[in-house]
Amino acid sequence: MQWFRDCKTVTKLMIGFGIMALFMGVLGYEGIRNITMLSTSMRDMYEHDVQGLSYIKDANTQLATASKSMRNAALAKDSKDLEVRIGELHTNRDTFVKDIEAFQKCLTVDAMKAKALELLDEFRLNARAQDQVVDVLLSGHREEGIVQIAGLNTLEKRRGELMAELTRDELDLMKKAAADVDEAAGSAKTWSMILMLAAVMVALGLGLGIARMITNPLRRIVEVAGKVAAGDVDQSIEYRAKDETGMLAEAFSGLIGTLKGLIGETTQLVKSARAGQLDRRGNDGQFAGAFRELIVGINDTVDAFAAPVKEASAVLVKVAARDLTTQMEGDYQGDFAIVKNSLNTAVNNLREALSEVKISAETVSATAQTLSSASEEISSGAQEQASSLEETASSLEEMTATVKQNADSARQASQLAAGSRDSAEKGGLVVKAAVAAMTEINQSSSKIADIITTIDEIAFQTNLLALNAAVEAARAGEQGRGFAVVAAEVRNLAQRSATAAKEIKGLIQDSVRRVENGSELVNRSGQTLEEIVQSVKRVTDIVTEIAAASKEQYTGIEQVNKATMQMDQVTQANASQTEEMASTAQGLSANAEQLQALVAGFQLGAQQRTPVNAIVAPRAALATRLVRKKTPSPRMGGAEERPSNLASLARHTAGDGKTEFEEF
Amino acid sequence: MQQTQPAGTPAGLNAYASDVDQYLTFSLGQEEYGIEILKVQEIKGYSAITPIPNTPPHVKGVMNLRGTVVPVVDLRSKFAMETVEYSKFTVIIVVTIGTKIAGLVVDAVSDVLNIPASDIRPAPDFGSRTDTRFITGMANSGDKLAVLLDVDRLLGDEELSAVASEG
Repeated sequence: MQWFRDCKTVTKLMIGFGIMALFMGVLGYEGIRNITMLSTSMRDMYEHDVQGLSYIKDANTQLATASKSMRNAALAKDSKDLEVRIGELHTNRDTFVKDIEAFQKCLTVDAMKAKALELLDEFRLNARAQDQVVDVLLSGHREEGIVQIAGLNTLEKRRGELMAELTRDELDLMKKAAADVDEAAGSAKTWSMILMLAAVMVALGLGLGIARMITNPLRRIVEVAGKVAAGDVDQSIEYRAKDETGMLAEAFSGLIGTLKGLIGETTQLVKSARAGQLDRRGNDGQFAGAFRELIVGINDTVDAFAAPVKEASAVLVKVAARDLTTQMEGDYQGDFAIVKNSLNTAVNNLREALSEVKISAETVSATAQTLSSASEEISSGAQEQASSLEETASSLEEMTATVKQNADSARQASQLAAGSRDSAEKGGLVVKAAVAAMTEINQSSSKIADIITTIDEIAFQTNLLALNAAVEAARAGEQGRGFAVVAAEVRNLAQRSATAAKEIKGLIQDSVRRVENGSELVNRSGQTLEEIVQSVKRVTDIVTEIAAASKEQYTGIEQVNKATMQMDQVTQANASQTEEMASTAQGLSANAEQLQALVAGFQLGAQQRTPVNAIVAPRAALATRLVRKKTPSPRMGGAEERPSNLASLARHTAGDGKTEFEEF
Repeated sequence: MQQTQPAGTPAGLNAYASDVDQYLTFSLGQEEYGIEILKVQEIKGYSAITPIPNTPPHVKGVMNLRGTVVPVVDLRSKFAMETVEYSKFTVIIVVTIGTKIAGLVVDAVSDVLNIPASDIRPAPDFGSRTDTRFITGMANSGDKLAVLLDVDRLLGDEELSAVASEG
């Protein structure tokens, strides 16, 4: 079948038509053959049978005529007529012979041929007989002749029979021929019909087959073409044949392949371009003509935007390598020019921005460090605060326990106080009596003291007297010598009395002191007892108050405890928050360092120093915010301990002490 | 009662030795002072002092000395020392300055001493409580140095004029 497929369409058609032609030929041949046969038969029939028949009939006629002539001859009026009639006879006999000869020529059947020969023989016999008759006639023996003529008839009988037989044979032959022809025609008709049917079916089959063979692939090709036209290039034509359709299929496959290749190539290019691989160019070698131009066009397009992209890429690579001093130099137009300008502007902006960032990073780093240290201090302070609070809390708990104990103790003390009050009161009475006695002793002691005082005064006065005497003695000079002696004696007396007085004083003082001690002790014990009583009273009152106060204290302490715990929580939260702040500040510092490190890696070309003032305000604001966060206390203005850090932070960040400082 | 053992020879036996002066020593606070015995009229115990207005602060007032009105000067105040309560052992030394009499309130009198002129040392110059123009010198009194005062210079005219207006 493949062989057939591989045939050219022409060939196919030719084969088809050929087969058809064959069939037709066969049919025709059959037909022709049959017709030829028929014609042959007809001709045969004609030549042999019909002509034979005609000849035979003619011969018969001639015979008849001959007979007629004979008779005529017999009846001839005259010799001329006889002559004529004999001529006619001869003519008829000649014609008969000719006819029979011709008839013989038409004969094919040996039997008939034999009969013909026999006929001829008979004829000849007859003829001779006739001739005899003729002769007779000629000889004038007409009546004899007529008698002979009548006798001819018996001779003519065989001849007639033969003639009839021959005629009948001829007719039979013709009938047979006709029958043959009929049969042949019939069979020919049958065969023709069979052949025709076969031919029709073959024709139809072949036609359909060939048509399908041709149109199926064509339809497939059309279908594929339609799909390809609609964009579905992933088609294939499976038809393989060496005929035109196959070649069409092949060519179409080739076209599809080319299209696929083109699309593939283009897709690859687009993918590459989309994936950023701008070095890829389409292989235009595998295409030709318009496809090649297309690929070349795409290549050119990629070239057109690869160059700026490459340059931009180079610049960006440099920028990625932290060299911000690069620019795009190329000369571009349209969007590429926009890209170039934008990229250059971006790199410039980036460079400037990074320069500023560098400065800011430094500032932030410093600020963050200060902030970090401040935070750490705050944090440690808060932690201290927290620990203090914890201590306070624990102390408070202890206090609570203590207060409870106190309450109990107060109760107990109250009871004890009540007991001791009674004892004290009793003792008080006793002491009162003792005190009264002591008071009397005291009075007498004070009287003794008076005595001493008196003695003292005496000594003093004596001394004065002695001194006055000495003075008078001195003033008296010579005359006062005796008085000087007196004065000296008086001085001695004074001294002695002074000494005595001193001794007495000492003794009395001693005893008085003892008495006083005792009195004092008694007094004191009296007072003490009194105080004790009072104290006990007070103690009782106080203890009651203490009991009540302890309760209040207990409640109060509980509240304080709660408050302390809350404060503790808050402080801990504060501490953790300040720790967070510290860590955030550290993180900020680390980030600032990172930032600095990051920025340090960049080449920024000529540094453009931004003026510090531009950054002062935010710095001072940062400082103020930091300061404000702390509870405002009068210590803030002073340069002491912690606040100094924040103040110094503010000073540090603001740099040259601007007016923002007045808030501090 | 202040009774000190005199270190200098007590007055009396050698009272008329010409190169020996007798000084009455008294104490003000911790310090010993001395004045010539001849200037001293008498030594009294403390008695009531009537304050006089418009007098310098160290002039405490006047007192009645057997009918005589005698101005009283508080030496403590004069020497710008803190004043103390007057007790019955407070002594008023009645001194004579020329024709006028005045009383000096001192804490206590010690003794009458014979101090030879050779034992008197000149007063050093030290910016102390004592104005040195009325210091005649210094001498040993017991284990202390007594400051010898010149009574005349001690009581300036102003006091005496105040006195004069009364007396």
